[in-house]
Amino acid sequence: MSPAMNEDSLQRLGECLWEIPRTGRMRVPARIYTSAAMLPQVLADNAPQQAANVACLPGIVGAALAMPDIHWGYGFPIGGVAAFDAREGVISPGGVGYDINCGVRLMATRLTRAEVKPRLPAALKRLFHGIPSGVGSSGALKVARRELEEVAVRGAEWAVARGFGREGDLDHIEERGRFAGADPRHVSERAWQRGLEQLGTLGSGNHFLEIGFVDELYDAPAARTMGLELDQVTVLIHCGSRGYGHQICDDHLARLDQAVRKYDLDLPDRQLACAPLGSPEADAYLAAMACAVNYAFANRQAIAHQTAAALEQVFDRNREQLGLRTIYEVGHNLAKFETHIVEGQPRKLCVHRKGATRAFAPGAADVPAAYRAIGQPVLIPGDMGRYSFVLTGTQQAMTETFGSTCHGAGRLMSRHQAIKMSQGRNIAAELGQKDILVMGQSRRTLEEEIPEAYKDVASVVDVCVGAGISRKVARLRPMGCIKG
Amino acid sequence: MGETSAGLLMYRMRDGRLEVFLAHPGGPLFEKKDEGVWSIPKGLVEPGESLPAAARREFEEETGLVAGGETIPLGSVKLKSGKTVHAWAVAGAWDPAQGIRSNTFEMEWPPQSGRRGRFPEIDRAAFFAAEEARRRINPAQRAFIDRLLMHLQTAAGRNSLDGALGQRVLPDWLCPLDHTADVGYFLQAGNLKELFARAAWAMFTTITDMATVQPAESEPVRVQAQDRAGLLVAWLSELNFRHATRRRLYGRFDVLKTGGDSLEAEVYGEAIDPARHAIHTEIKAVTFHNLMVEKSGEIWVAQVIFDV
Repeated sequence: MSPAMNEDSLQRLGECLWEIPRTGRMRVPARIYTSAAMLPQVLADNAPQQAANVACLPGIVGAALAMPDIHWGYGFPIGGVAAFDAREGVISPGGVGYDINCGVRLMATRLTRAEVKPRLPAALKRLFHGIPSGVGSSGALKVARRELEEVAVRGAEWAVARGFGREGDLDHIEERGRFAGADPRHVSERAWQRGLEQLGTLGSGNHFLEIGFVDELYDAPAARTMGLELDQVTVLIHCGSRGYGHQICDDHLARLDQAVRKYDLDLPDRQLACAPLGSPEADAYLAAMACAVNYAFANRQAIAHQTAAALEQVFDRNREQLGLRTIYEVGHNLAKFETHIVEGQPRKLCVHRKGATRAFAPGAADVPAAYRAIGQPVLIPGDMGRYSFVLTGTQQAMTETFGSTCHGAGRLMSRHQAIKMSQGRNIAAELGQKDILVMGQSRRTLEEEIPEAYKDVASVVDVCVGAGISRKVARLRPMGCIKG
Repeated sequence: MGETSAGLLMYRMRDGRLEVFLAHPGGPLFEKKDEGVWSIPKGLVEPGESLPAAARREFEEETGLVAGGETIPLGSVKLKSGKTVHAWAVAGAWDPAQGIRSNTFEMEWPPQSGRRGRFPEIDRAAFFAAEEARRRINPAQRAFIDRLLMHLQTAAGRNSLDGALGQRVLPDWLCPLDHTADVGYFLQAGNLKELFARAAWAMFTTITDMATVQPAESEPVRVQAQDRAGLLVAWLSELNFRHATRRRLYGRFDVLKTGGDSLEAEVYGEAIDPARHAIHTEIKAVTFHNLMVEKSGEIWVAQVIFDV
């Protein structure tokens, strides 16, 4: 292993694409989507080495990919995409992450920015009190253990059946909010315990709920198809599978660590713990992972419902009058079986996306009918002070990245650094001056999450657009944000 | 045996993270070796020479760099060979483009060929983040990095650490590791029980403000694992699990017994009261990422990273 990756370790393949050529134990090359300006920052981290390590895993197809928001993770880099042959490849919980099916939902209203502004403080307050952040706050959904198993199997469908939202919401959720193959028998008692307390909660750290408005359109026809127009008010929800998913990842990482020995897998890093697809260990993880995926779908559906209820109250209008609807919901920590064309042939693959978003092209069968002509909507949240983007998937993403793109801004600073930068400042007041209202459970969280702690998401998105793996549709500006 | 050498551990702060400068020994014997062979630039003390002077001279001879500035004493360690190494830390800068200029040594190569070759004492050098440097450095010299981390953590060293602690004042046995996305700590204690107790304290200081937690009620905790590092994860995971599912915060940790594979403790805390307790961060998991529990000289040190 070289002491550190540097520019000499990489070959430039295009304007926005670099390659770490295959050497040593790598079975395929590693490819990094970035820009010349962002490259030094990418190389300063261990993430490129991690991408090269992923390229060593059995059955990996094409290349180990890194999106422009790549940063150092556990074993797998965050912002990584890796596809494995369904018969010869492996599944790795580290390639999915602790927060299984962490993702984003975008909702639109018929309200304009001007209409919302005077009532924003009231709306935000209502949302802040209506949507619990998690441990220590009350208000999580009360479900019995038996019912939680149903949540794990049916996902958002369960939530709709319980009266949280509408059947129609499901049409605009990845997998219609229900991931196949969930088997509660593979979920530990600990995970159930953690899951019971946290359904309908946002979580802490980078999770949030944001009220914003459309401030720029790049692709008017696609925006029209999604029903987005300038000045329209939107809601963005970012959260995942909570303690339930974290525990499932934790449990199965330990089991797969054993499996590595059992199947005599030669790994460059112990944290890449994985099992051959088709093995009992792989099946058990996949079945448990699907439970967490569904928990996250149900969680976001429940939070979306709470959001709707809060807005109905504050604006004294019902959902139809508010024009509240789900534009799309998509996860960014998942492993899925998908068929992609590899060297001209369709091949069944297990695509791991850890901090990367599925971005299917126009015409793809898994894209909701309403969007099939424009491609799958992709939701890229930025930091709380700048903006977020709505993109669509492209044909080039299908050929180059197994239909994947970036997932967010990516942190630039550690939490300690961010807190240090916030010393003597009032972050909420600063954002207030920019007309952004923020409510947080803790002052420390706001400081950890200051805008400067993140890369400018626009530069990340521009790389994806420049590389041809996404198209820009719209930009959203925050008006108000609640942080867990 | 009994040889004495001295050297400098050069360090810098990069994006709030501590990085140290290590050198890779030259010559055919080390050409293919990496982990565990890197070293601080150092060499033998000459007769009549003071240790700090020797440390600076050797550093300059082996790297071609001049290390000015104040030094921090890091004490000495004994290598397997019986050699004693004395070290000082010094803040400094180096750019890979600068390269290094090392003096050379001569040895017979290939063995028994009768031919002699000249090789540089050092064939490459680089700054590494503390965690990575700990992996690469000769294990006997690891204590130098640990001592530097702890030094930078104490009141005297706070300025050097660039105030990475923010408004929280952490005890001097606890050093935050700056990981971009997550939270990690390096900590030390006089014995293993105290080390485990302190690790638990570190975890809860991430979650809440410890001053607000009353150690009102106690409960027993018993965990088991395959090895010591695994035990640390099992112990912290158990407390995090109880915190999340029983809605409790803990403020005092009495570790009663620690073997290599089991731990018994009595922990003291109270139910979460939203009126008094702020929950700043949820810990998703206690990770195995760069996990470490070991004895470093006379003290115990641990490193643990939380996914938050």
